[in-house]
Amino acid sequence: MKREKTDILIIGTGASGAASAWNLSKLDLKITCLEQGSFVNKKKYSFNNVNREIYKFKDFNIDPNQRRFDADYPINTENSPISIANYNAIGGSTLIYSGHYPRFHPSDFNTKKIDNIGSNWLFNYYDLEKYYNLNDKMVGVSGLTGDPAYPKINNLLPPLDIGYSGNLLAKAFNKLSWHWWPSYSAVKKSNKFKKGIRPTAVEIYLNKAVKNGVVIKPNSRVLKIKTSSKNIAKGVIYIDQNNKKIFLEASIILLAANGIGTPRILFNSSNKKFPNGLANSSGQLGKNLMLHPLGYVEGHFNKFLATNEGAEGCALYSHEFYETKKKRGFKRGYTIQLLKSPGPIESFHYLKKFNKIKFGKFFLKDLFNYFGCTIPLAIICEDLPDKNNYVELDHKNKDSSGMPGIKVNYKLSKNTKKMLSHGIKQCKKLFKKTGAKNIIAFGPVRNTGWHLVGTAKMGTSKKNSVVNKFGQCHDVSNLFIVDSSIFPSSSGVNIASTVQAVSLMISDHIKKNLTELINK
Amino acid sequence: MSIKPKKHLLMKNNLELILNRMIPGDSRMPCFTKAVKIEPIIKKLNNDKFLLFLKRKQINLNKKNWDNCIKILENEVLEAYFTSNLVIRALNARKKFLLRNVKKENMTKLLKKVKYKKKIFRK
Repeated sequence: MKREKTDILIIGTGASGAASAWNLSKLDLKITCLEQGSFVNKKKYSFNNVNREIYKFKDFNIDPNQRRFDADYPINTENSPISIANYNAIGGSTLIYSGHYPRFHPSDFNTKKIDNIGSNWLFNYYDLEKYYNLNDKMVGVSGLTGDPAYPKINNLLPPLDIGYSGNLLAKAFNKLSWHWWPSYSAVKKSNKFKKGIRPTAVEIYLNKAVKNGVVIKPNSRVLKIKTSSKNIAKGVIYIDQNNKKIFLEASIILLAANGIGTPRILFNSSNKKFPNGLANSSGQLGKNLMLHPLGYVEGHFNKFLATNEGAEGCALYSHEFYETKKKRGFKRGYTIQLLKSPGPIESFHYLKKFNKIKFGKFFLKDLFNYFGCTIPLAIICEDLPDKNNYVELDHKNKDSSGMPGIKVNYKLSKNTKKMLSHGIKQCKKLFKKTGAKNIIAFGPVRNTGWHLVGTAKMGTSKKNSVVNKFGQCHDVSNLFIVDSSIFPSSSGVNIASTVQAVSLMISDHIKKNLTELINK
Repeated sequence: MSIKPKKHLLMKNNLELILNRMIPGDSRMPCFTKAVKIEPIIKKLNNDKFLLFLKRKQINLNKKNWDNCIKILENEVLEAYFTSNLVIRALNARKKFLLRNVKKENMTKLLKKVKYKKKIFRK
């Protein structure tokens, strides 16, 4: 087997891997990133690409089981009401994410202490604030200072337009005296590009990291992490773009392959000392999977409101029901997000599903009764850790390199079901205030497993957790996990901002303790 | 597949007929062939049976044939139509027309209408 050498190895180039790559790139060390996906032309994934709606059904389908690219791995979700959404390429899922960029609430770091549920983090919002601010600066986050749902957030770019639908909803929120606020978005306003510019991990971090000397190897899939008899990670075996196995030796390894990909690599790296998966002496690896179950409520209006335009992910949001209130009958809470409605092609497919459109004389009439006339709301529920929600290797389904896929075993808890149904009820109440003609609602929506959290959780010791507060594996001291698998709680908001802030914090810790780590 | 000019013209006319029947247009939106050139679609069609069907002098668009046409052409029609420049312009013009009397309130004014007495987050 061919051998290569690097100082720091980063596995994965998505939101978390990219942030660490950039942060560490300032060091005078050889840094290599391995990514199982390939490089994708920026024009293709831009919001402003006229074919974007078509790509959503093809190259940029969010479901890896439907895309079935060589870079994808099979994810068996037979035992889950929610399927997994991801993207394997340089930049990872940030190539197709909506750019909704809220932070976690301070309470999300202390759910055990505050609500006696879930697990506490080993640091709090204020410890992470510095990295949130740095990340916001790197990304360019649009929003409005003064949100009563958060501690003060400064230096935001001007907020995005909330559109006609936002206007209508804001008035309804006001009538009910519910909290609402314009969204935090990783989307910059632009005169040239009407839909705004949404940077991905490639533009935010990776391009800068490469300029600083970081080497990115696309189409390179990590099969196993190899360790020494002293439980030190020696390097990885990966398959390169020419389908050759290579041993890449590294002094420090960072895993950034998301809440599904990270446990998959660790399970596949099991050895005599760790028969149940590398760094898994706690038995917690793969467990406590949290997915943010999503409820969907759609208000249908008699008039065209251009609801198909505006912020890609979320124009405005409400945290009225985010924190625990005893009388609601469930713990923790959810976000209500105003989404944009689908474009014409997606609208057609949606109507076709319900037999509400046919080609012919009434095609445009049927389409325009729906297109731009509906306001979609999403209810993002905080998921709670549960050891019975877990991922495991799926030896029946293998990827293009022969590596086992992953199986998701997941059920909605009673708490989540109550939360979902509460959210749907409140959204219906909201729509009634707007004068919507029809309201439809359902949940959980199947294809919404974007936020993969909790499968290698942080904790105080190797008895109860996989990593410490700095993402360092208790069992393998030069192996770090920098993605969302280490989160002990899921929050009720999109996770991209926190994923990157945590990754920056961990890589800062690595920088400060470099000598000690390298000498191991 | 090489097709003689006469047959090609017949095929083209028949295809135009079908496509415009699928999306006939309205007062604001163009019909399909006004918005999209159909030669590239003919090139893309690789279905011999369907091309033979189009070469008939009088095509019979009964339910079975019509359903078959839609099955073959659906994705191509949707993608080509809604990404054509003419349709994008027509959609924008339609939007301007329909929203001409709809007024938006200033976001900051809307926010001021809610008086938040205290922070709603917990530490």
